[in-house]
Amino acid sequence: MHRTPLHGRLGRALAAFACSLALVGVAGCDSDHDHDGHMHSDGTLMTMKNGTSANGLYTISWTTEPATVVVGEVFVVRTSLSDATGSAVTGATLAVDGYMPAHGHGMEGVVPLTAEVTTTAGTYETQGMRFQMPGQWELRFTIEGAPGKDTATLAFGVQ
Amino acid sequence: MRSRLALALLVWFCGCADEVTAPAGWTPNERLFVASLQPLGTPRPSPGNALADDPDAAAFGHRLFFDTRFSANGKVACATCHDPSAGFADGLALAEGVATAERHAPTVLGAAWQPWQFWDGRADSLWMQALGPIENPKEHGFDRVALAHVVAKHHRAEYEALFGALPPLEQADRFPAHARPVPEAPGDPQHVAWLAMTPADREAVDRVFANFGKAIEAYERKLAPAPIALDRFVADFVAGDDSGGGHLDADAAAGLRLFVGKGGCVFCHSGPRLSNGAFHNIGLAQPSWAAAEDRGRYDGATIVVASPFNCLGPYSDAGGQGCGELPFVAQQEVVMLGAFKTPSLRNVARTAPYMHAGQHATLLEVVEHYRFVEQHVAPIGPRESFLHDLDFTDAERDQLVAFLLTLDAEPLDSTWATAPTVP
Repeated sequence: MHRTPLHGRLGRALAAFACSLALVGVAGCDSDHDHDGHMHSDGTLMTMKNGTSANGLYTISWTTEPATVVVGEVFVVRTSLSDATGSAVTGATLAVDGYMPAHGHGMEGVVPLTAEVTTTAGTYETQGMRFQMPGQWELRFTIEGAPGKDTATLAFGVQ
Repeated sequence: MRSRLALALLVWFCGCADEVTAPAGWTPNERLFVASLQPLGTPRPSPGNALADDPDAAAFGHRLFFDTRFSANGKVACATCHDPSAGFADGLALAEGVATAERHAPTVLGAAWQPWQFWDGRADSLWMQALGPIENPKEHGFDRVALAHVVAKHHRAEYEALFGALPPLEQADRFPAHARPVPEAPGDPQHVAWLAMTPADREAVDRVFANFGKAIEAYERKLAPAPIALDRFVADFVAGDDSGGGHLDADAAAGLRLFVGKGGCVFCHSGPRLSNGAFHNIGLAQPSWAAAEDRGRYDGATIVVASPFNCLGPYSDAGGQGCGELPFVAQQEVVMLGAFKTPSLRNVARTAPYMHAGQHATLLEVVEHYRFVEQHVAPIGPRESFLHDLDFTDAERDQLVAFLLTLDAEPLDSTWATAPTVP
């Protein structure tokens, strides 16, 4: 007996998982826009560059260096954290991980390192990120700072 | 059925129905993935090698690559297992150097686009890679001090023009005929001879050894796969022609759709080189002709981080910058047990047999492996969690093979694919 192949339903699964992310501490689900309002011509892979943590303690926004992530190549995530009043959160402990929900695996082969960027308040830099596959990923943030401990999951579509 | 219902509920709840309605023709994801299969472009930077793109170093490396004097029996060159007439591989399940090696010789064509070298990625550059077979007892069976002597005797002028003066290798009391570190066998005469040398002399020999590799790398960076039909197809596809300009026939185009669609091949064979450069356990058994156990990347990750010849080491020209993934390599990661590098598929038709120990003789066998992958229990480590049987008909299997056969190209410049006239 053959199981239904995962990839055979992948197109729908990617979109559904992306949508499910909207239920986890980020605002809204929009099939044609990411959270920055950037238009997706394909309407499939989703990227959410900012959101609120699950318990509402933090507002998170992130960028990457390079701006376009290449599969199989390391990249940097720069994360900005602010609290419920909009003030930058300094001195927090932040971990950033990647996860591919449709496949049930995370990043493999790398151990990313996060450090606070002391020259820009509330900014943290995670080096050594690497996505080994194209498709729908999540960035998973674990934050422990003065407002408390919280997590956030934001979609990241990688071509 | 149950999973489809769950997906439908999620979609309804999210209001994203337009994302999951598969359109006629190519789906949005298939379009994205086809568009990601861009032409190769230039080789990746090699920050550890200041002469990586130096034409004189490439010409020198060309001679070294074909020189059989860097072997224990005087009969083995890099080109022995990376034979231009065999797609820069050797057509054998296991490489044959001075003895039968432990793994299949991968092609060198396009290797300069890969972030990791060897099946287990135990080298982070082609110059570091070139050093491994020299001292492998089953490949060249040679040693770094003997290598330095051969360079001094037969290639002195070219070497010194590129890298500066050789050490005084003629001083036999300082530089024995044969010596190399063999820490796993402390009683080995070559190891004893190596330890008898001064640290400075050992370092001088290591530098010659590294420079040998750097010249080889400069040559290997010339071995670029030529454009293939897929490149032309993708260019027209991205420009709006869903038929890709007809650059793939109907079967191959259907095979491409399987490749980026329900076959899921593109998740690992991704991007311009048709490889994500990562390591995966795909449930391959070790064949009867190979070692009973091969831990693959699990060991490779340890070796590359510890080596003095990596991008961060004292023989690198990188100055600690631009070393990519190396500073972040995970150690003793369980999913890397039995994991091997995703090979590029460019020129795949001419580099049979396949897999790290030549387990499969044909591309048909390879596709059948993935089609029924759940039958295969990895002898060590966990099989990749996302690999499941492919819901392929025999006709679809044949279409995917037809596509793989179109990925063939000659090297860009044939002068690099023949032995140099002056050895």
